[in-house]
Amino acid sequence: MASSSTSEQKKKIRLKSADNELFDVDEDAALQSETIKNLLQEISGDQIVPLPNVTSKILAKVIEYCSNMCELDPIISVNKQWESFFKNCDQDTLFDTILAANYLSIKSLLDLTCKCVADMMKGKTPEEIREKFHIVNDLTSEEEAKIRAEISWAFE
Amino acid sequence: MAGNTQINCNGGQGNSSDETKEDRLSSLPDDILIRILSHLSIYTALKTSRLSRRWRNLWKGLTNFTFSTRSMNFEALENILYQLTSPNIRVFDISFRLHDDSEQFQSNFKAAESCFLHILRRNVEVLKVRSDSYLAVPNCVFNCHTLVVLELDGELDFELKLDEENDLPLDGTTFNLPNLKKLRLRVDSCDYCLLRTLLKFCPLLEDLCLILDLSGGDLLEIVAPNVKYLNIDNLVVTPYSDVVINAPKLAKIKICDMCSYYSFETIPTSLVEASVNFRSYDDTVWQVFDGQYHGWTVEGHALAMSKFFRGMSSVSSFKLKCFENIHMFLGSSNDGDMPVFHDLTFFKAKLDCLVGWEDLLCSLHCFPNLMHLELKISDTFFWGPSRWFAPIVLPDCLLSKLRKITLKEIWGIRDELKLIEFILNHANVLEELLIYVSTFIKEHGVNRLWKEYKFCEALFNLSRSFLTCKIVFSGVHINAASDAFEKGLIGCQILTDYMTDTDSVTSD
Repeated sequence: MASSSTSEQKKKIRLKSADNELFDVDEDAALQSETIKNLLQEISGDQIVPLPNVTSKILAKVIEYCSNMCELDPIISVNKQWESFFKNCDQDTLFDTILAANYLSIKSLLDLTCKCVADMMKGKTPEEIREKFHIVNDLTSEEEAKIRAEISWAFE
Repeated sequence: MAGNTQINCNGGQGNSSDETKEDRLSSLPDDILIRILSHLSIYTALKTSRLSRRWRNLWKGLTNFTFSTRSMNFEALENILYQLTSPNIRVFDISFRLHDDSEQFQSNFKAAESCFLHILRRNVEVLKVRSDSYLAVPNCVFNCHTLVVLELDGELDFELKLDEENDLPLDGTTFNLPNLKKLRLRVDSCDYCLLRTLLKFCPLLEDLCLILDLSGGDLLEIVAPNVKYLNIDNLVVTPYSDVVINAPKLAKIKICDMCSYYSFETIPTSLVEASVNFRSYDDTVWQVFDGQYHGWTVEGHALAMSKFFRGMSSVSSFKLKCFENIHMFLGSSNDGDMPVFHDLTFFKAKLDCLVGWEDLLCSLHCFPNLMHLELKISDTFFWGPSRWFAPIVLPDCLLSKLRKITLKEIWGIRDELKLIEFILNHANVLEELLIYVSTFIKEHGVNRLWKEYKFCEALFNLSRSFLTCKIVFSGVHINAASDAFEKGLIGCQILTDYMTDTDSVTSD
């Protein structure tokens, strides 16, 4: 699907998503995931690597990202493109990718997606952050006042 | 090359608010939330404790402490530190943006020391402190086993006094930074001994960045056996300072200075990248300086530096900014014997006027395998555009190696066209010629557009020795490329709001 098809000689790894879709991925790209690297050591030969925690939609994105990062210059501009993708995608895609990156242990992707969430929080009031992420405020007004006092104390 | 990685943005693009109303963020595991918080300043992270119960104490798990503040209140910082529950504070990164001067001068070593001791006890790996004023640096900072990155920006105020005999601290303080890889320091003349001593206790140091305050007559010796990246920025215009570099493993060097003398104690044979800027000040400062200072001259400096440049002949990428006479820097010194940069494929320089081009061509003899040349012609607004004369000697790399030439700060005058014609007639394998007009051009509107159009026309009509060479022009109003030039028509893009529709137009 999204896997790169530049060279036939490259060794391919076959991954299976939670919804049983198969993906053939360049070894270089797949090995960016520590989890896949470890799984490959456990299973033998050309077996399929099962990834029961990742849906095909997200896996396709993750593979596209990993293939991008493997290209000759994993330069800033590529990273910037991905950053702008994650900033503009819906929250489900973003959070599913975070969970996938965490499960697959792809540090650069996890960092990038976490940074995108952090950027969405920057410069916002707590009310604005709650609204953005649909966070329900279950603090009593006394508790909130107390926290507020603690914070101001820390900065004075 | 990077352009072909198109990220597929299908599905889910756009209205993010219409999707779920579920709180996906708060349902992430703690360690991921802390990871997210670590990208924020401690101030913003602290504020999240007000979001909900889930967030109440999350920030306390942070191991990153990034903070920018207007007051140098170390007690407050320490108060926050005490609330962080992790035994380790990996990153401590603070900057003080101080606005009123009165209180900053009194460096508070006691408060700073207590705060620094606190983070040192918590195994800090990255310690960065920036201050736009004096910064108290207690001795304990230089004795930390876990520290990997240490950056102290701002005028440092050391408590430390060194024994003049052996350069060791008088009070018996021990220096020990056994794991330090990266060091950034601002040093003025009083601290040279300190720097020298400090470097002895950073055996693994790879990356050294020094902001100097050299006063005339100083001698700074940098002895760093494992340093690969060296960055020197000298802030003052005072000649007759010497910097001696002894870093045999150097891979990249970057120098920003005006008139100090540099030399290598040991030639760094694996140097691949050099960037030397000997005109770090703008021309007005230079005018005051007048190119002369108690017998110091540009030429004298260039000649004295030729040996230093010779020491960099292993580089593959070289950026040079200097006042004229590139080839003097390259060492036409006494014997007329020029060094050869065999591996150099990319050279970027700034010429002061078109006349400098001839001097540059002489220099290109030193770069037999050059593939990409990038030139900024001039801040010609200062002297006015100069005349072009065809040079007599032609370097080999121009004839048979150069594949890409970038010319920046072009004004679009006739003499520049002659220069370009000369290039096109002699560069036999040139594939790309990129031309950018000067950013100093203030003229806008139809006149400018017409001038650029005429320049493009003249440009694309020039004869080329390598027929498939592509010329790309980027102007104030027009972007055009020679491959869209057909039968006297220029396919171009009109850039600015000079016209209402900015689509591609073809005109004749």
